[in-house]
Amino acid sequence: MTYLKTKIVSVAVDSKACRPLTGFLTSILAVFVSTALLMSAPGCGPGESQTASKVANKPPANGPGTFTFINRGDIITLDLNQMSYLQDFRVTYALREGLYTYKLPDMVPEKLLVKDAKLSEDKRTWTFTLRDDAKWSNGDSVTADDFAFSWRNLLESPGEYTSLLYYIVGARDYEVEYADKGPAADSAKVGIKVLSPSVLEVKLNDPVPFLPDLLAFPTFYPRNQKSMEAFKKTDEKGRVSYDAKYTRPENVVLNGPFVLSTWEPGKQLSMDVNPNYWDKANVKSKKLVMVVNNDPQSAFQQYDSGQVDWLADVSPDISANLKRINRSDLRSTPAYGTAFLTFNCAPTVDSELGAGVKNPLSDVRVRQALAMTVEKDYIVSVITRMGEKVASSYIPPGFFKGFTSTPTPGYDVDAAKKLMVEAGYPDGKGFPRLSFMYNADNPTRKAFGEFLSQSWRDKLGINVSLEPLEIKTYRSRVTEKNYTIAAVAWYGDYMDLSTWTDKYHSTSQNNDSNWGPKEYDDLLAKAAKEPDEAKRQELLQQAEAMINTQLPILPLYHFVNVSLYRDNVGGITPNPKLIVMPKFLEVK
Amino acid sequence: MTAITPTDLPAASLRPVQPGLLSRFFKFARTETRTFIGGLILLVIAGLCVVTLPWTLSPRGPLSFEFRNRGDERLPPSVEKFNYVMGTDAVGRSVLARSLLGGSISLAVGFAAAAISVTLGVTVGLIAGYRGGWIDSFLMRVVDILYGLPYIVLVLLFKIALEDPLKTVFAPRVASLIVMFLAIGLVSWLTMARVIRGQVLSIRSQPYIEACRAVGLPERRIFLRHLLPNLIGPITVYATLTIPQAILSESFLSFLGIGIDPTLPTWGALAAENRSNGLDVNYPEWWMILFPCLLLSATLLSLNFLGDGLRDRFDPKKEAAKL
Amino acid sequence: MKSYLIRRILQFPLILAIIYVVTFCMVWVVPGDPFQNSDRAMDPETVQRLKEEYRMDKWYNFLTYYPYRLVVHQDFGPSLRNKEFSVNELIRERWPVSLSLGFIALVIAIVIGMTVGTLSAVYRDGLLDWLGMSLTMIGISVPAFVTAAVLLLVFVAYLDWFPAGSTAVGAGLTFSQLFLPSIALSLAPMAYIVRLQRVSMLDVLGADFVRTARAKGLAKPWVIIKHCLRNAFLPVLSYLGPAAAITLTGSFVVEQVFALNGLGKTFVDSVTNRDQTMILALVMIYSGLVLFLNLLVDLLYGVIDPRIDVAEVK
Repeated sequence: MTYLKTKIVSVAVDSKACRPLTGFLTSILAVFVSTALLMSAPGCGPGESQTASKVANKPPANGPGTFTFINRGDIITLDLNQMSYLQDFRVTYALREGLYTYKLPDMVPEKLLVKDAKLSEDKRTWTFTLRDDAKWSNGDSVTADDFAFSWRNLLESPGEYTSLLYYIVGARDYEVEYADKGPAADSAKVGIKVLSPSVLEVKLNDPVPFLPDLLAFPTFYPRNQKSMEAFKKTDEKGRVSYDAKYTRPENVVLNGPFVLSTWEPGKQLSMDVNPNYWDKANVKSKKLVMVVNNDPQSAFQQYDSGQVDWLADVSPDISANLKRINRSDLRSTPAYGTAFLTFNCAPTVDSELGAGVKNPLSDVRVRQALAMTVEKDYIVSVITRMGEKVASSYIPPGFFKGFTSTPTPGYDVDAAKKLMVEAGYPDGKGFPRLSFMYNADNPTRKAFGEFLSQSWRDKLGINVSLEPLEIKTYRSRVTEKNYTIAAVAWYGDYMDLSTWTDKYHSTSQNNDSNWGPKEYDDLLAKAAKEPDEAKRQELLQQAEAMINTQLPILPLYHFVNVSLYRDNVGGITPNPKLIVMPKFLEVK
Repeated sequence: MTAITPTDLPAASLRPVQPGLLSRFFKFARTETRTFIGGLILLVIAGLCVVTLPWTLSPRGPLSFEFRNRGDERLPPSVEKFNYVMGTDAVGRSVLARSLLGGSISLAVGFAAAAISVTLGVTVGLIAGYRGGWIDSFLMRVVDILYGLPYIVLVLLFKIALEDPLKTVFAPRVASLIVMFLAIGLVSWLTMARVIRGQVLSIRSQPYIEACRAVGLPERRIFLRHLLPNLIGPITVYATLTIPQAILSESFLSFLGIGIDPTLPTWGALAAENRSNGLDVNYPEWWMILFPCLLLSATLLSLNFLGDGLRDRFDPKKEAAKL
Repeated sequence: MKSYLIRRILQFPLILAIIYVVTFCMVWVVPGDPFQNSDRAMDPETVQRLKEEYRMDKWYNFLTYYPYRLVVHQDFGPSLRNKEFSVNELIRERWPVSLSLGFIALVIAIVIGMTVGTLSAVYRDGLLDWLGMSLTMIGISVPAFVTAAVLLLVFVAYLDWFPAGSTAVGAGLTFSQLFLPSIALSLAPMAYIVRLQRVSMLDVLGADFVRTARAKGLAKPWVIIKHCLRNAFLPVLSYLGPAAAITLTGSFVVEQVFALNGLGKTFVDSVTNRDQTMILALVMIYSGLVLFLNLLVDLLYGVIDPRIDVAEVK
């Protein structure tokens, strides 16, 4: 025994055996403990405060008269044909102008390049007279030809928003014909006519009371044909398209308050005041700089240190923590969009459930049971934490006067269990495994996916596994309807109900649910032909009620946009479509 | 005073001197310190993770990786409840439970990758080094090509190709684990192959191998009885060094969002999902990222030291020139 | 040896061609295309038109048209993600960032790695050895995105010693912007260099000529610097090849966290966006580099250990 004791003591005293352990442990602990201490140090670490922590104003980041901002992401394209992302639209509002613009914050369309608009008796023909002082950046006047050219080009070389032109007579047919025959297609049948250099006539299939709203959207902005000639391409069928290079700073001709000066993809984009802009006197800043920064923490640092004047979209984690410390420059606006789950309502989904297995989601009772066991309040208060409103309907409330949505079924676990028994799955027995699909780079969807999967397992006894997919794979699976449950979102494009209801028309390519009852299509068709506003709204209300009760989708919450800007920043008027008119942006 | 009787004398003086087990142990600790410390720390952490598996894997119970209490979200570490000693995460699960299970899964990924890389790497390296000629050229060029292919695309492809067929056989969580083992393992054997080939090249030119061939020994006998025993050294070393690489690769894939099933924790996935809120400048929820990273770095450091120690033991001269 | 060298170099075009074809096939097979982006679905005919415009409709275009363009005009084609720009332009703009980042990172890694490795060998198993090794091995014990995020948090957010990128128009990268990301990037190669240096230094320190020098009465530090370092440096030199390749293009995490516009980020983004032309361009560049450096290392093996005859064929 003593032998052992002396041996242990001698080893312990022998510093050579102790040193390595000490060195190893010290180094690890040193790095981590110091970081932890730094984070809990007063002034550096967490601390909830009740009083708003006021943020000091800072001068413009790139010098007086400039405005620097971090956009939602990098620019995808500046070609009007292919544009569909909000960040591209934001920049386009600075570079181009259309017939109408939005008056913020009510989002009412306001005449911009239109001097006068006449509507025919049958409300199908609009005649627009353009203002005569609008000029392109190369000195040319903006004429009706520029609009006609741009819109026809949208049909000849279609993109994601070409469907907005289908309201125009002959547009869809021309698009199909052109894709087939090329220049042999007859463009005279399309209802876009240039009556004179400053008069444009538009003929519609049916009355479209919200046409000015549509025309304020960048898809309908004009383009200067002469400047794009050099980039014209024709394929073997003779179909014309324009190489996207026409949008580069050295090539592009613009009619908006700013012109494109430099463009470094992935890094930065800068715009200077357009010398030929008709309203130059009212442009507040001389230079706009858009910075790309996809890392939320780094982007916040850039804003906080004064390198950036406006951080347009703050990530959920950062905004939740900024709310905790009551930052005064945190601005939150309800957005014109809904987050929801989409259910694949087809009778069988062989690729997911196996051949011949009945798809439980094809039964409306199952969908309702799933909806009745979701605690939406928990999701918005604990998971997303951005102050979103719980969604009890597909269309976000409060945007259309006189429109009331029929609410979706409320939280009721017992009723849900009964419905499952009726549908033939008592306690989840016999219920095939479903998969909840989402894009892996979205942590919010992952979080509520985990929550929903556990909720449904605990309350209904069914097995819903999580399937995170890389974003392109996810997109193609949803489009091909190769899924059972998926997390998606939809933002309205213009301030009319049809931007919501059209999505679930049985022929719409945006209808991911395989849900298309005839009554729904009939309601939409009747509403399209209905001249009376109130009656039309009533019809679309019924259509939305079908969605809210039959639940091809499960609305979760309505989005909120959070951005950061200091008190001396002007020109940002919060609005649900997150539109900012760059003309008015300034740092005072 | 008692008389000293023969039975009081230490027995050792009547027997030939042989170091006892304990003193051998301490000698080992003193001379091969790296191996000792590395092995010790690894054993402690891995042991803890594996031993607690019955509790962490069960769906209920305070140490379950899925167990959550409403209202207990985002709690900093506290000593009142033992499973909240590392705090809770964004949905109220115990960080301790998830870190322990995460350790088991991370180490499983590491060992599986090492196993695959040893099997493939040794086979390819042996054949290429011993046969020489066009087989060697061909195999080494295949290795070159695989080196040149983008790692992420390879892993993405393996995942997509293997995920669906595996899902029909196994449960989705298990399937995603197996896909991860294969995807990482199938890309980590390249260095092993090159190293083994180099070793075989230098052993092959030794006269005793030539003597074996002259005597007429079958190739398989030469491989198994003469070559392999000499290769055990580098194999062990590089297998030990592949494990940390595999674990870090898994954490990178989790960071990109293409890791294993999101409900299953691994140290890398825990670090990746909490890097934003754990290191937030305004309100860092530091416990969510500190503890998994602490365990991860201690384990990886110990694995690296273990590998270094083994390499020291098995002739540093040969290994110095190669990685 | 010469014929071996020539044979290896002649194999380059074949290997690069195989890598090109295999990469192309892999990306082609994976679902998704570079044209469909947002939550809105696109008309299948529209997608087809776009594919035809960029010659993505027929797979053999990537084996005939694009390689022809590459070999004859040295043009990798338009980037399918940023259609307004060509791949050549984008790479030309971004590779200086990756190059400077990689270069500074390697210098830091070599300087610190060799110092700590030498000290580690000289004071074997001492406190300095263990402390130094543990700290420099952070690069392979902690995921890169954690170290980068911690560096950002501590030095940019809390201490404000470095700026968080720059928003000045048209300005190049300043050293203060590059320093922190370079440190983050240097940690991984530093770990390997430290270990290599330690092992080879230990080996050299036991050699006879060192014992002779000490017996002659030369001071220990002088012996180390003048005689040992040169010998111990060889294995590190042979590691620098692969290290350079990995550092140049493996900088994705660092570029992402510090918002730098470099090739690492471009590569991962192009895979995510299925930007075929960009992926192929970057893979070609990366493989070319790796192949060349591997050949260098193989030749050095033969030089270092004369028992190995790499060219020997039986």
